[in-house]
Amino acid sequence: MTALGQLVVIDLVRPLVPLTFRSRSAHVPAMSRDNTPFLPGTLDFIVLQLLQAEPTNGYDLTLRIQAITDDVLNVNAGSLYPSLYRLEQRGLLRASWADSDTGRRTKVYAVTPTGKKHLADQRKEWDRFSGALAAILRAT
Amino acid sequence: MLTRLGLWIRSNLLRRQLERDMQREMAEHLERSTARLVARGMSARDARAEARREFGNVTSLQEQARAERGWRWLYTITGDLRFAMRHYGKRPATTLTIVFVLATGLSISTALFSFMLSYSTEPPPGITRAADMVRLRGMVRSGGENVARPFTLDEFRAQQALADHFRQTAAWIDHNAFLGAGGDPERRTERGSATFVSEDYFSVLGVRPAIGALLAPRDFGTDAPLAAVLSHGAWKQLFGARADIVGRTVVVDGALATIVGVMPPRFSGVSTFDPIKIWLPLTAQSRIVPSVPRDAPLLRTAARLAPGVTLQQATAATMLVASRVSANAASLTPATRGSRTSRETALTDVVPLIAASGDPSFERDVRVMTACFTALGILVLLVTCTNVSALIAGLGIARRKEVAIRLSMGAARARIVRQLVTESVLLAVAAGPIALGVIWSMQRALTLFAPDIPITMRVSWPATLFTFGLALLVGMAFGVSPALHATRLSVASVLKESASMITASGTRMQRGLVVAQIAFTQPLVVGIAALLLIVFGAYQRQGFTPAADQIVSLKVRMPREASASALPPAQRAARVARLQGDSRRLRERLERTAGVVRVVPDVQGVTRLAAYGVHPADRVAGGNTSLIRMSAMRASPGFLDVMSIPIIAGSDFSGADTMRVASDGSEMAVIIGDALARELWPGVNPIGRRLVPLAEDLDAPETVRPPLVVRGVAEQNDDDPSAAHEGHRVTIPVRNDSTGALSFVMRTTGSAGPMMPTLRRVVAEEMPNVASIDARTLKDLQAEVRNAYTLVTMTLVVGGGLALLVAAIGLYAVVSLAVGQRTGEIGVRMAVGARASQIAGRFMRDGLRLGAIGLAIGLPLSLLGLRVLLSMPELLPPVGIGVVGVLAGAGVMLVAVLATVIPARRAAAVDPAIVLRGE
Repeated sequence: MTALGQLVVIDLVRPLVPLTFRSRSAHVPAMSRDNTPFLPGTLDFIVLQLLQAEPTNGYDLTLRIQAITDDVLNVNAGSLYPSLYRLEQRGLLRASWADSDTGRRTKVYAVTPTGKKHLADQRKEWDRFSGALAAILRAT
Repeated sequence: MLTRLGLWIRSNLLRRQLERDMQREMAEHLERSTARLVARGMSARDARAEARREFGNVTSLQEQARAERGWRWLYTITGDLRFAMRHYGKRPATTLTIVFVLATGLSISTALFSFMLSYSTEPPPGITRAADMVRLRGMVRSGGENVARPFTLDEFRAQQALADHFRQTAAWIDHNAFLGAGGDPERRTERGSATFVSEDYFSVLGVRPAIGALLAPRDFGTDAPLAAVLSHGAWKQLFGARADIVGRTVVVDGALATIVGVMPPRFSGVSTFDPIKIWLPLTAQSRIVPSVPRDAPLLRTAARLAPGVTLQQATAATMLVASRVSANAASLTPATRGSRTSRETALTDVVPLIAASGDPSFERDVRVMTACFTALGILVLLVTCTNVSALIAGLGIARRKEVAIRLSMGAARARIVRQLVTESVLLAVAAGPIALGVIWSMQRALTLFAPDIPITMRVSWPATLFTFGLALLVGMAFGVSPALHATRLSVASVLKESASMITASGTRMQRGLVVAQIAFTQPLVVGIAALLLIVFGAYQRQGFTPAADQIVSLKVRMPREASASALPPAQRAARVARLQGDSRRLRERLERTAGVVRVVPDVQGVTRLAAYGVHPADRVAGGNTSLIRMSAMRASPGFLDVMSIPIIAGSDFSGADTMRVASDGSEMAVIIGDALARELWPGVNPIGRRLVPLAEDLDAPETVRPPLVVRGVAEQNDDDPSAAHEGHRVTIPVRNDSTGALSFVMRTTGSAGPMMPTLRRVVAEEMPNVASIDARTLKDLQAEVRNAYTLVTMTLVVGGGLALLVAAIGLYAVVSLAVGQRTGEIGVRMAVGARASQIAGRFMRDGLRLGAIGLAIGLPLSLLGLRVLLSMPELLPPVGIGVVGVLAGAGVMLVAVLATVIPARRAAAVDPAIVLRGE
């Protein structure tokens, strides 16, 4: 991707990031394995999408992200937990303590109806965005 | 939106639970990572380390998580508060001092402001404010001032007829009365007041009885049996607060009235504030006070405005009534009224019914009082603020180094300022409840110990917020300024602490505060000293009689009879003869009672005399020959003897003097005080010399003006404390035809207290149908006066003492901080050979110089305050106010010196070796 392409991408993605989080520089962006940062807001998107497929706990979620992306995205705890708390605080996730397969008590996160609606909106935006991105890449 | 709010509330309420959950969850994560790594073949120790590395910094992560939950502010504030607590915990003395000063100053000034605010915006005690509740004030403009003009019944009726303007109108007449419980065998009475009210009185004021009912319309009939409503104080003091009060009788100036109800505590009507009070129908006035003619202008009125009527419209309507009524009166009796109305115009105005809008003649006094109280409150507030500022600024300056370190470690300036603000707020938060507690206990004390004193001590929230807000702002400003200052200086120079600029700027502020402190304290102390002098002077002028417990004042009242003026002359003469016979008989009977030395009729009030001058033939060199103002008490022969007032020259009146006081121009005997005798006839015998009325004052209506001849000189203090403008007090003989009065003073051989029941019994035996007997010793009467003076004096002394204490604390704090800061400098000076006394002297000189500047600045304020205080007509300029002013100044200075001495001595005790090692 060219530098221009990256800039355009960032500009297009920016509206996706909810206003409330833009000013919060506190959370450390998650890194992919080759140290390229996640696009801001994408972690929340990924978390929601995965939890909608199957409610699970934080530890299993990190493993699942690694497995699905074939270790391309390595989401560490330092990014994942703030993201989980943030989504819970916004009412998009609900947490409850449950026994895991291994018999341990773990905190399991599930997507709330609000979360589902939010995710659907995010997906629509993403499709629009990736379509635009594809068009740009095709044209250049 | 609601869901979000719920989540927010949950996250804040269940903070501990969520916090625990988070820690458990993260621990769980770490354990599972470790287990995974161990399963891959790592050693347990390496696996744990690797898992931690993967996970990241747990604490920072938890911080982030909390931030996501919106708790960041909470954690910052908690952190700041914890830091502030630690900071103050290390300096408990300073912290307690700041809190004490803040709490004291805030409670005093809040109480003052609250009192003034409720006085000037609220109705009199016991009445609830209503927008349409108004007072109608009659007045005449005389000599540039408004003088109160009560209304006649006709004018009140005309006001009542203004139905377009007033929904309801009420009138009342206040009357000083002797009140007692009906059926009391000893016929004891108390001085109190009776208010005669029109039918709508209670409904206009919107008051309800605490017990029983109010006056009913049938009680207002001219022949209706007398009905009365008691004040709470009268119920407690006359009837011992008995529950079965309704239906009992109360004695009002000898007449019996049936009690229908009791008013709630503190309600004392509108114009007079007497704890012992009763309300009677207006129609009862002619029965209880028959001597007052029906058309006498005595009524005061209040009303409820009709909807939509403004004060201006109402005033215009009542003015019209006033002019009509006074025109009528002038045409009916031109001889008596014409002269007055031609010179003075009758006015009326309508004002909201609040405590401060009373008699128009007192408006100036009310303004002066308001100004005094407000000035006092502001001064207290200023002293408190400077004090707290000094203390906080001192702390702040002492912390410059700390601020600099934090800045150098990367703390944002805003962050440090916020920390300091939190500290100031913490102080205010600590002092606020204490101050509110003090105010609350003052209120409680007032309710508990003086439930019937008609004073409202309602805490007014605007005043409280104002005072607290101001103190907080000032505290913050002074807490923040050192921080801002420190952040402006270069961090390096602060840390080196050798830079003189730090101390220079700090000391400037401190010096300013010391000067302000003294400048504000001085007027406070001078004002209080002046008030003390005024009170002390008045107390001295009371002239307390030596053997006061052997002197009894006895006032006997018989049931009311019809007014004497209504009787034909023959009957009137017969009644006078009967009354005189009764009086003589009772007097003789009392004189025969064991233990009684002498009984004489009491004085018949005080009369203002016309302006007099010394008779031309009797003038002597060096004597005052100009106009003399005198007021005379009418006394019987023997009165001065009974009162143990010695006659030092000449003699007492004789029986013949009392016969010869007709207004036929013949001379009247007079007994003057020794001071007046010395003023008029220095060095010669004044007996037999004459005083003649001066022509220029002849049109003054109500004065007595026969030529006077000096019969005796009494050793008496002839200044009347309550009415200094009435001039010298002299004694003239009582009129023979008025000796039918049943008021006596008597002298007993021993203490008269135990004899009271005997005396009452004697009177009751001699006059079986007596209505009330008021007997008390002069000692008791004087004790009441003494107590009042003691109370005022104590209040002033405590107030003044507190002001000085607070000032001393402020000064001490500022100076000792200055010393603390300059320890290094002192050490160097001593190391190069300065003596301890030189160092101490230097600090003392510094303190004194600042004190002198403060005094010089405070002087104009003090003088202004004194001017306002002494412009009140009833306050005599106290003797030696100049001296006391100087003394008060010296006192403040002394405090300044003392507050300097201790830190200065401490400075001198510094061991240079230790200090220099510290450098």
